[in-house]
Amino acid sequence: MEEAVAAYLLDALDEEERAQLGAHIEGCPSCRALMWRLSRAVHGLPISVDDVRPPERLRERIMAAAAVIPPGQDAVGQAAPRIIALPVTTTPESPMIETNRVRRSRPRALAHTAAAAVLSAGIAALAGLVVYLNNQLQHARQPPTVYALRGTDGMAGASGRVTVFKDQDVAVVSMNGLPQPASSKVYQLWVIEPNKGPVSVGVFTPDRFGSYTVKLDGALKAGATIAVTQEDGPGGAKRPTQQPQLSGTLTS
Amino acid sequence: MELEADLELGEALAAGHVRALAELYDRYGQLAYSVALRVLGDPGRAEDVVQDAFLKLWHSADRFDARRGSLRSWVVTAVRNRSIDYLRGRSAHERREREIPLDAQARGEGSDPWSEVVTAMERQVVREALTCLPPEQRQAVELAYFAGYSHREIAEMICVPVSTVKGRMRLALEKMHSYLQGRGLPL
Repeated sequence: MEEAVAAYLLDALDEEERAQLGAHIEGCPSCRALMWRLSRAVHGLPISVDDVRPPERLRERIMAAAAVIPPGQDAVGQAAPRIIALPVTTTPESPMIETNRVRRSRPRALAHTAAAAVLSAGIAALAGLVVYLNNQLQHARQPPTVYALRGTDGMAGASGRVTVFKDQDVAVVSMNGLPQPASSKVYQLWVIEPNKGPVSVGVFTPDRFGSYTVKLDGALKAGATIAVTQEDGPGGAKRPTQQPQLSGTLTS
Repeated sequence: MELEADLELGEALAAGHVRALAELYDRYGQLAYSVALRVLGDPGRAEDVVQDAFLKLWHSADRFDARRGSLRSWVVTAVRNRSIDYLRGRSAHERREREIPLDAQARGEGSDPWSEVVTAMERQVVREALTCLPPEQRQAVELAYFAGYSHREIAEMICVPVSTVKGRMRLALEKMHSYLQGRGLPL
C-alpha cells in the first residue's frame, strides 16, 4: 500500500484504488506519516510553474459572477455564470434592457411592444454591473431565485441561468458556451409569457468565450420562458424563425 | 500569523462578504492562473478554469477549515483539479472528491508558508528540486500532476509496469522532499 501513496497524492490512482487506499490510510500510521512527508513535495509543484500575471478582466469576471449568486445560492448546481459583456446602450424600443440605470418605481410590467434592439457590448461597463448587483443583493429582502437555461441541437454545449431578484423586478440572464453565430447572423433573446407570443429582448453576439450577460428590468412572470434563437443580423427578427436552441422556463 | 489570517479570511468568505473573495483572488489569483495556464496551455481556457474554481470555492466557503489546511492549498488544488478535468474532458460532476485530505496538507509548525506570497527564491528551489530528479522520475510526476494521467496510463505510455511508475513517483517525491528540506524551504 505504501508504494501507492505518492500516486495517491499526485491524483494518479483510479477511483477504486483511491478509495481502498484512503480507507487503509485512515488506520495506518506508517502510511499517514509517509503521506504527510510526501505531500510537502506535492505542494511544491505549483510553485515551479512560470509566474504569469492574469488579465485584469479576470478579477472583474469573478467578482461580477459572485455578485450574481451569493454563497449558498448555487441552486442549479452548474458552473457559475460568467459575466463578461453586457449591453451598454438601450433604445426606446427596448425598455426591458438596461445596464446600470437607477431602478424605476415598481410595479412595472414588461414591455411587450419591445422591438428588437441591437445591443452593443462593452467590458468597460462591467464594473458598473458589479456595483449594481452588489447593491441589489444588499437591499434584496429575499434571496434571488435561479433558473437554468439548457441548450439543444446546435447549442447543445451552451447553458445559462436566469437570476431573478423578485422583490426588485430585476433579472440577470447569463449564458455560457454559446457557439459563435453564423456569418451575418445574431442571437436573439426572447421572453415568452404563458398564453402570449414571444417578445424580443434584443440581439447580441457572445464574446470570444461564448458568454453573454444581460440584465432585464421588469417583472418576469412565473411560467415565462427565456429563449435564444439565431436570426438574421443585424437587427434580428420580429418573431422567432426557429425553435429555441437555448431556453428555460421560470417554473414556480 | 498566517493561520490567523487564513481563519479570518475563511470566515469572511463563509459569511458571503464579496470583499473577502476579492482578497482571496488578490492573494492567490496569479498563482492560480499560472497553474491553470501550465496545465492547459491556453490563456482563454485558463481564465475560464480559474473563474470556475474561485466561484466554486466561493459557493463552498463554509467547508474551508483553516486549521486543517491553508487557503493557498485550497485554491491551488481546486484550480489544478479543474484544469485537469477540462483538459481531459471530464465534467466537475464526474470528479469525485479528489482533493488531498486536508490533514495531509502541508503546514509547518507554528507557521503556514503556503499562505505566503510565492517568491522567486521558492520557485527557483522547487525547480532545482525537479531538475535534480532522474528524467524518468520527473516525467512520472509531471505527467500525473500537470497532465492528469493515471499511473496506468503513464505505464502504457512509456511501456513499463504500473509498479515501476508507482515506484518512480514515490522516489521522486521523496527526493524532492529531501531537497526542499535541505534548502530550508519549509514545506
